[in-house]
Amino acid sequence: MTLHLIQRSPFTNTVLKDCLNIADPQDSILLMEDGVYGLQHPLMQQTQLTAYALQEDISARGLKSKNSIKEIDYCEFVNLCSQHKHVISWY
Amino acid sequence: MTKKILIINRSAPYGSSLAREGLDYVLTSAAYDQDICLLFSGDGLFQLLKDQQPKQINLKSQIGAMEILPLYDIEDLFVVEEDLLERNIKPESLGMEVKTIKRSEVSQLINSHDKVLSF
Repeated sequence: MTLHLIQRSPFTNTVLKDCLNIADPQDSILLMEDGVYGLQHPLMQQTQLTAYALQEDISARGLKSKNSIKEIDYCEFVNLCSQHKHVISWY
Repeated sequence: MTKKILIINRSAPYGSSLAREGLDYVLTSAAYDQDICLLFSGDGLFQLLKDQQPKQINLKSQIGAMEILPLYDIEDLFVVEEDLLERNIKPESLGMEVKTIKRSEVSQLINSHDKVLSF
């Protein structure tokens, strides 16, 4: 079970697509830094993976969270990392 | 303690220093007797092209530096089949012995390792 940290905007970078290509249905995905622009992207509306996004990065950019994507803070981020066997950064 | 480490190479060589840093990490960990496996996906596949001549842009050859891998007992090099096709890379244009795996098999490869790093 892997936690994927998406750190780049899917509108300028392919990391979100590349990650979804290889992710297992059991994996989770966390949007952070410019990765939170993924909230606006169709790929995030289609994915069946459990999805999270960092609240600080969302509000910093004036974005609104979506129901299917859980907003979390840095404490919950740490918990998520410890709950997964692997954490992979996509930058 | 020996750990099984998977390095995912996702970056093309030369445009950034990531590919080089990944290889530095691999050689350093291998020197400490870690069990290393390499996965090349996305633009990382371009690191494996055999006819690289980066002298003209004053950089060292990525594939040239990778020829040392067998001396470090690193022989597990995987490439993602769909990514090869997407980039129109023929297996015979690769400069290393590789095994192809499908995108759907990558998560299994990840789960079979103790540590995973991506460059």
